[in-house]
Amino acid sequence: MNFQENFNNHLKQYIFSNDNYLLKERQKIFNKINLNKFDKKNNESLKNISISDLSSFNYFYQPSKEKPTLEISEKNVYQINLVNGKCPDYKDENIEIRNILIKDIELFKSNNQKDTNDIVADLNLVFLNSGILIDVNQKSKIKICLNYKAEKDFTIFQHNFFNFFKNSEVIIEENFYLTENTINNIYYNINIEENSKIKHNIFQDFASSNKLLLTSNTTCAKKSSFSQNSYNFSKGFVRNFHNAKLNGVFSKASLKGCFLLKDDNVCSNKTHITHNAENCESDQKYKGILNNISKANYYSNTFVSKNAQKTEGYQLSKGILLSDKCSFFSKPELRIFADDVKCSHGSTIGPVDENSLYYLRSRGINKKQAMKMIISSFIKDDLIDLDKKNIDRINKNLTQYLSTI
Amino acid sequence: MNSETIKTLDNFSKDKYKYGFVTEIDSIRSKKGLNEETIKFISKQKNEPEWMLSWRLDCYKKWLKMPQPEWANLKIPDIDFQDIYYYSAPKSFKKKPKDLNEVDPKLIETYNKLGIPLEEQKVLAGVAVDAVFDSVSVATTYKGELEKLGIVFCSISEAVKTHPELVKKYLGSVIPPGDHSYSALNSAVFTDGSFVYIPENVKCPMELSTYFRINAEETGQFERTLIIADKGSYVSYLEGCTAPQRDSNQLHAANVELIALENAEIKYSTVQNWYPGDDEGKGGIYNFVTKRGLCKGKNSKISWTQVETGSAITWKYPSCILKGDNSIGEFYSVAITNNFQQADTGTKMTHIGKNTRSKIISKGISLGKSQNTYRGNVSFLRKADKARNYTQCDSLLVGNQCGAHTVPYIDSKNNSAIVEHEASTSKINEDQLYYCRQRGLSHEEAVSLIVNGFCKQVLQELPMEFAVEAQKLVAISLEGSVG
Amino acid sequence: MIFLNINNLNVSIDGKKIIDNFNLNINQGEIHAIMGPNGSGKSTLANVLAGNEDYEIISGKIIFKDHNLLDLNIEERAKLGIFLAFQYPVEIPGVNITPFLHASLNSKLKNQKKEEIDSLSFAKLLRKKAEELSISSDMLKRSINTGFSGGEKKRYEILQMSVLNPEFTIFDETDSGLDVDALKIVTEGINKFKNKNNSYLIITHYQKLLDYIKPDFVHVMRNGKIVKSGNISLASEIEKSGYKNF
Repeated sequence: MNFQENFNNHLKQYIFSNDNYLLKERQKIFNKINLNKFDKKNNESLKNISISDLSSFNYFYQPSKEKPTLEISEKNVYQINLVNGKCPDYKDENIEIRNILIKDIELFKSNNQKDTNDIVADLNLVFLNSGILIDVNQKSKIKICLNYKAEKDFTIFQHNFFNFFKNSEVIIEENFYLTENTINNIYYNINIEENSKIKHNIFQDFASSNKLLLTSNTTCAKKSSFSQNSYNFSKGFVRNFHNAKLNGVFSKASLKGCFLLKDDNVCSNKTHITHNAENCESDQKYKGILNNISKANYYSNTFVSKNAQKTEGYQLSKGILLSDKCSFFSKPELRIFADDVKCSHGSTIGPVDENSLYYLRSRGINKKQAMKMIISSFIKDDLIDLDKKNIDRINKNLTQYLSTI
Repeated sequence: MNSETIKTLDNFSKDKYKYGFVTEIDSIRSKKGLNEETIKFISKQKNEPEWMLSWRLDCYKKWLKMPQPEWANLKIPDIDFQDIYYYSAPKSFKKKPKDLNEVDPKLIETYNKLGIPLEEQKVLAGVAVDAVFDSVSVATTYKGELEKLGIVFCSISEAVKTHPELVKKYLGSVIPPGDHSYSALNSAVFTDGSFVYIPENVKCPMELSTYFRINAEETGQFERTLIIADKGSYVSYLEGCTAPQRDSNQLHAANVELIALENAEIKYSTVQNWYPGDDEGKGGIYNFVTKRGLCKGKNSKISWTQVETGSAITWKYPSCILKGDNSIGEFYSVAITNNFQQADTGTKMTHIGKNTRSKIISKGISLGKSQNTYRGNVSFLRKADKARNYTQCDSLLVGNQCGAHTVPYIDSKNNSAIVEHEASTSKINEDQLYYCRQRGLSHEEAVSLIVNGFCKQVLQELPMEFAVEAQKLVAISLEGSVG
Repeated sequence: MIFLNINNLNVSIDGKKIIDNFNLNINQGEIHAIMGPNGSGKSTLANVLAGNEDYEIISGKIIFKDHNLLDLNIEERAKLGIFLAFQYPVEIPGVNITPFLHASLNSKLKNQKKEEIDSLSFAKLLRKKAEELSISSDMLKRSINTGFSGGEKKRYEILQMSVLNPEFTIFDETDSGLDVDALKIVTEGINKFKNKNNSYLIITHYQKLLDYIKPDFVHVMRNGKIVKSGNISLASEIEKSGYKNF
């Protein structure tokens, strides 16, 4: 089905379809895309994926028999099992969880961070059919596991709002259990209040017929910290576009990710950190390994506004290419308007380092084994913060990936 | 940053341009505006053969259909292409003078004032100069001596008549006129520039140099330079530019094409010091330049070095297409922006052949209210086995009213190619300032010294004759009194 | 003429008091050593004398050669004859020592209303001084302190001192990061340069340096002030039982 058919045929099925504001916004975006009124050439959201790939699909969304559930397995560990973008409603002294309601429309209106040239975020609003809201109360120290399940053929367009109130300490872990032929376009607004410390781990390992498109916008208040890690072992199309704004002094944001691609896997990554206040630190780092005919891109951007003195910002992108048919594009950007800053970026793309190979082989390790050792160390550098269960999971994926080299 | 540093930097922003004078001379001009008549006029003034005119007209037709390029980090006011004179030449140039005795003394004086004496006995030893004044080449020195070696060094207008086979073969071969709207515009209306041909296995014994001067008001300068280094040859070429101080903006849209055949090497250096506008951002040159080199043959090498201190707005990306196996591309750049200047400059290294190597060293310094962007593209195509690139871009910010931006594009499609990219942005290191001042240097001297050190990797790539000048220029761009 | 007199000096950084009612008098030709544990304020004192702008002078007076030192900025003090041999000499990439030191020396000569030295004679002078300190001509070609070992950096400081010929040199932990051989070379240079007209202030944590350079006076500094003064025997006392008795 093409974009126009999708839009017209299901207009009544989208969430809040009666709301005038949303209707207007949806129509605006529809016209923009349908009439090609946007900058296509330098459009980061269209790198490695075409506009027709994004907009032509069989829109499918309906109530499901399976109910979402919530378990509190250990104290302060909340397992939330979503089904097709729906969550159970729950509330206790730490947390409130619910699906978005028509009254939340104000949240969409105030979502002013949107990149006006991001087609994936645009489509999220056009086809929006679900969304959850999580408020974590002041001083709560909890772990939240969000297990996303998408049933066969579902196209899920979800907008989530996470609020972490003052002095909270939270680990959010996200897992995707995607069945077959699903589209998951998920947009997040994450708001972190003063002194809160948030870790966000995203695990992506699903079958090739699925698409997962993530877009997050995080704002950090005074002395807060946000640390995000995405681990992509997926066979389908994955997009990780993550933005953070450091709005309060002495706040920190770190956006990191790694991806292991083979066959015709495609993965599109972007991180963007805006420094709006003094004395903030940021770190952006993506690493990838590509084999066969896979493709990846990584856009990173450190933006330092005029008043954000004493900024420290780092960026790194690394790619290892294992086959002569894969490709990697990287664009590490620095936009600096304040003078008292330390900002840097580094980028390397190439084969497995010859010197390391030589060294290991001189110690009697065969070439294949040496390659595997180097590749796994490349990824394992960044696993320090994870619990054992997740490390095992990554190791399993890594072993599986390495067995195909 | 402490108060003294800010005071020093304030002084830096009140820079004075030393080449802002106007030469009073009668000129022949085309009618204002751009149309087929203008192009025919230019072609006729230059006595061009028919093929050249029809090439120009084709390019003009292409230009009509092309949109203006857009730049993310540049604010370019709309340019009214019908409000520009496309040709201006001193009246005395109706016929090109045969030697310096026939050249209007006013012109010779102009170049003397700019520090470019045209009388050969006064010329720096080892530098041959082609002086371009508005739309025409005034004089070319040392021509005879070069001719003995078979080297052709003349104005492009002259080459169209004397070496049509080379011009036909190579003009537009590296920068196709349809590349973008300014390459089409330049191809349609180019007025003058240099032509260089170095025959097989000849090492050009002296620096070849062109000095561009815009004098006439409301006149665009459309420079076209073509350099061909035949198999096994070597040439080093220098380019310098200045313009009078005026309140209105003027356009300089150049196309420069370099072709290096097997085992040949071209070294191209630029010291760009067009009038940058005053300290309130009024006036100045729009410097929109397309420079591209083709390493056509095996083991060829093209090296670009630029010191960019002038112009109100600059966009310029001297590039290398590394087609021949084992060919080498280099780009060394210092760009200093002050007051309201905007610069968007960098390079493009396209690795096509095997074992091709490129190196990019870029140093940006932003002062005042200026915006300074490095934009670079490194790409490895499928067949560029074992290609390598190393890129380093460092930016220095002086004051909190300016911006420094780094926008690299890195694209690898070959798994044996290696790209390494590093960049940093920071302010002048206060510890270095303290150290220098503890040894008795003034604040201003210390800043100048540190900035020159910051640029050293690039400045040392310039030919000797230029390096000293460039160092001074860096100091002048920072303030004007350090000597 | 008062050579150097520090009177009731109080200094803080970021609101924290580092130097507390500090007093010291140094006459022409004398060698003084200040010893003290980490954080006692020794290095702060060195930087305050040199004019580092990161510190806030709350009160006090410093007279040097009859000038009120606190009224002068960094380079004015340098031109007056104060030389700080840095603990961590900063790397200045791309800047060669020859033009750097030539400019330094000339600014000083100019200040003294003496004739400036031309580059050729300067290059000769520099080479001669470098030879005396066994600094290779190769090292003179490199950028200032860039890629130098700890010992090389310190020798470079001594070279600069001997060229600029200051009347008052502060050695800020010059022995730190040096092995025995390097320490010997550096201290030989320091001793060679000593004469009856110039004075030294040696700041050190360990007594070892004072085995090579004999001070006329030794002061122990703690919590921003001098807690005990004496002669070289004070240093041996510290060597034996540390700073805990002070």
